[in-house]
Amino acid sequence: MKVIEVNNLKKEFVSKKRITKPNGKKSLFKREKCVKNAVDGISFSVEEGEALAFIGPNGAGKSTTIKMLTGILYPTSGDIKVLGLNPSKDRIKLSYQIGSVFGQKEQLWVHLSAMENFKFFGSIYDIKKDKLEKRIDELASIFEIKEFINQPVKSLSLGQRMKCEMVASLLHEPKMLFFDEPTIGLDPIAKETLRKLIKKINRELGTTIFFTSHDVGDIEEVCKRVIIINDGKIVLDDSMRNLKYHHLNKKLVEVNLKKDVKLKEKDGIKVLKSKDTLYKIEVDMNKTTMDELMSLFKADDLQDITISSEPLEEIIKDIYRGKDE
Amino acid sequence: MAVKNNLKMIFSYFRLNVKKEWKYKTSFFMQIAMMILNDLFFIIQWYIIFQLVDNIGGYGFNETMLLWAIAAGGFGFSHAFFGGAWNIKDIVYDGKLDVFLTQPKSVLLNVSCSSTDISAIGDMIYAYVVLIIIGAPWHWYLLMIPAMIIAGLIYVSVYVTYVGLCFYMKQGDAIAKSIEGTVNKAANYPPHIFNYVVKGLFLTLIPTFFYTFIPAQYFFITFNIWWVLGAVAVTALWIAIAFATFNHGLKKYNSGNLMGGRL
Repeated sequence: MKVIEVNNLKKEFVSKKRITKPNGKKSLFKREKCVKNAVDGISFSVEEGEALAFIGPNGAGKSTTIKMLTGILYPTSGDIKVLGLNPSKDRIKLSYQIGSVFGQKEQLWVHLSAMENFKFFGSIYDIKKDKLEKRIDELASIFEIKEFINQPVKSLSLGQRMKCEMVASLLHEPKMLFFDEPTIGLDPIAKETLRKLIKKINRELGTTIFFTSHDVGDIEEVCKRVIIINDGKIVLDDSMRNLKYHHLNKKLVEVNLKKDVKLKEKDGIKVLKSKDTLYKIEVDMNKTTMDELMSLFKADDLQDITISSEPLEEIIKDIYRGKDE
Repeated sequence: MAVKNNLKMIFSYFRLNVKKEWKYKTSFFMQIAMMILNDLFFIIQWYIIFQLVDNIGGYGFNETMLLWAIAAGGFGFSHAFFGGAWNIKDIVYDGKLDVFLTQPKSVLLNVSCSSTDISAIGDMIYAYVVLIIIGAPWHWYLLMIPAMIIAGLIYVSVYVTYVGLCFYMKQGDAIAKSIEGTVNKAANYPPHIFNYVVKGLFLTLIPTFFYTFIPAQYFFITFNIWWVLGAVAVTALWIAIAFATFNHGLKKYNSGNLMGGRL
């Protein structure tokens, strides 16, 4: 079942600036319209229970898209259906069924404890007292927040705070969770913990995850499908497995030779770095083969060799830059 | 059910805001006490004026003080329960409505309840201090509750209606602030000193008379059920206008990506 259906979605931001007259001075009254297409006719759908990474460089339109999907922003044109509802028209109905975690915008009251916050959110989502207490207890165990649940939020570490943010977003048992850079500013251990928890929510509770992040580790670990958006347009919509399979055509080869050999570059073979007998070589498997590389030196001269795939981060950077087809 | 849930939310916000301020008890009590003292100063001012004249526009000291009590009580009620309304301009300009928009409640109600001005509790207490000073009959103490609610709802609705302009223009709050200033200042004067044009204005676009004069005259001095019902209807109308302008403005909301949290 499709939980998100987006068709030809557009969002324009219109600003006005004073017209510059031929004499170079700015007009006092006349202004011209400047239109920025933040989201430019995108279409996609998301299946129930999916974990989708929605990524792109800064200003690509991903936050604007999330905000339209959650009813924060009105689209300029196009259709959106989230859980069968139109977010702009049915915002309140939809809010009972979705949750959102914005890494840059906290929803908790920092002077109050997490528990006080949860009780408050219970009243916002009209959850009955008994049910709320049970739910808090259940989520507190899953997220391991019991030991600091009664401390003021301001005294918690960022990682602990993000866990509490996630609990607050899950109190009303949403069918979908939107994450906008939830791991921003977290240390590697806190990131890892949070990723595992998001995976757990997706796999065990069946909650659909819509995820944006600049951290490739987040995306790799949490999501099975990725949509890349750039300049308001979708440039890639594929499974994570396909992304790696089709785009991991470059291998990084590090060779240590017994003696200094002058390696000649060939089509598809590029020496990235060399120092004494150590070479770092990029091999494009679409253009050449490993045999070609091995033919550049004698097998007897080889002391050590390491072959690795190009990091996913580099592939995504290339897609952002439009280098990849 | 929706009314019950919204009332529950209003009281949850109020309880949470008071709890937050209660952590600093000295400041909490000082804010309330200083506001009562500040308001009491005006009693001295009016007392001196009424030593020089018998009445102003037919109103004596007690009637004028009643206007003051309702104005203070209404102001206090609006700022205690809907203090967030006065943050709307900053919230809209800074693109901080997002959190409220993701919650299943009316955005306007949610934002308005999100903040409490603790000193406003002092204003509400002051309304009763005035009743004690003028030796009001016992039933006036009960009538002050609906009068404060009506006045408070009118006050916040008028402000929200005009501050909604900030969705469309920069410094849209400047108009709201001057309207609020007019409502506030004119509310403390006996109504008969104004000419017909001003009276017309104070019954319509800047409904000062529904804020203090009509509750004072027809709730307390000469009780008239039709005026009471009229005041309730006008309050409902202003609330509806406030919601309509705000919700219409929401379509223009641009959000933002500033980092921030709730304090």
